[in-house]
Amino acid sequence: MKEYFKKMRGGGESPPGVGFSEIVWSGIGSFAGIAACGYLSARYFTPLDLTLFIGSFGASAVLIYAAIKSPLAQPRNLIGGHVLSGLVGVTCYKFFGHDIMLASALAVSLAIMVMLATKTLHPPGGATALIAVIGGKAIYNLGYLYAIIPAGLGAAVLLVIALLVNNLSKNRKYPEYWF
Amino acid sequence: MKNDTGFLEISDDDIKIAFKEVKTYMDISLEDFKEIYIHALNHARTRLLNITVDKVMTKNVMSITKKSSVSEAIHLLSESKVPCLPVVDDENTVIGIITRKDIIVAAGVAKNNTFKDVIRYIIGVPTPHKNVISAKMAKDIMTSPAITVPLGSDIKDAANKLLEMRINNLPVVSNDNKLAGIISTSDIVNSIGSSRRI
Repeated sequence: MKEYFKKMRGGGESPPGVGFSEIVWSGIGSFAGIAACGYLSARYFTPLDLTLFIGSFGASAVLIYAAIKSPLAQPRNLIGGHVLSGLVGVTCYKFFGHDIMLASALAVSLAIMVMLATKTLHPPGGATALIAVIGGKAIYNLGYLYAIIPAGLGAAVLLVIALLVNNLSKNRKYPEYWF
Repeated sequence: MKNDTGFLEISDDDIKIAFKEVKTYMDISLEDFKEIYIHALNHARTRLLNITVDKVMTKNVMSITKKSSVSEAIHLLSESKVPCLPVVDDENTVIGIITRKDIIVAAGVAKNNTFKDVIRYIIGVPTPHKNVISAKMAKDIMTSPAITVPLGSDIKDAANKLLEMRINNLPVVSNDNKLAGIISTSDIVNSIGSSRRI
């Protein structure tokens, strides 16, 4: 029991912070990525009653523009995590949509398990799965298309911007690996 | 800093400096990094010491037969640079070893010289140990049985044996005790040195 609480003390030390240039490049990348996604969504997808914009992309932006070396931020995880979690989320809504609480909990937990099992763990995927359940009518109407548009395609737009912007700095390289 | 295995140990400050040098945000805590590093280092250590003796030993070594004369052994040891001569029988089985020390002993010097013996030698008084001059054949002066190491064992075992027996050379033998080579302390040092290009 004592051991159990002892673990909560931590005891490690927080890593050093990053330099100014890293902060600026993270800002530039995420601004460009979210702006591109929002522009394409408003210009081409909203008129078709579609969207390219979901909340989980804000979380993805943190990873792929600020923590670019993280395994969680690599293309396999970014695209795979959003698409698979989207599929899981829609499935949970279809089967358990009458009980939003159950459907939400299942969507997120199953999405995490699927991502772990497929080596595509991407934290924003959990949000993508949750949005499929609690996203409202516009999302429900998409059905399984949700996993491709906006989840997959939106992530792909973020990825293209990440490839372009992250490699401009001489200290940065993205991705570490593709698959 | 060195740990008990003699390998360089990384300090927390080293890691912190390295994190800063990488410049981009690292998605791993200092503790986790150190843990992985130490695991990897232990694997490297195992790999370096798991080299088998046949990879580093000297092959085609000089040996003599048990019926060779003592003078032939003396000649070989003094003319060539080999530090020791394995003694083999007709089937190339190692039955003993002759080192320079064995030759000196055979020349009449006791294995454990006292200070008195040394003085006697200097002033020309014969030492009381002169019973071995009569030895004619290699087998009469060799150290037997020879301490050997099997072909498949790793250099860690060989190193332990060398240290334990306080010797510098070990004949390497195959399964049926046939002479296959000699491994020396410097062979082992060289092998660890050259594979440690970190």
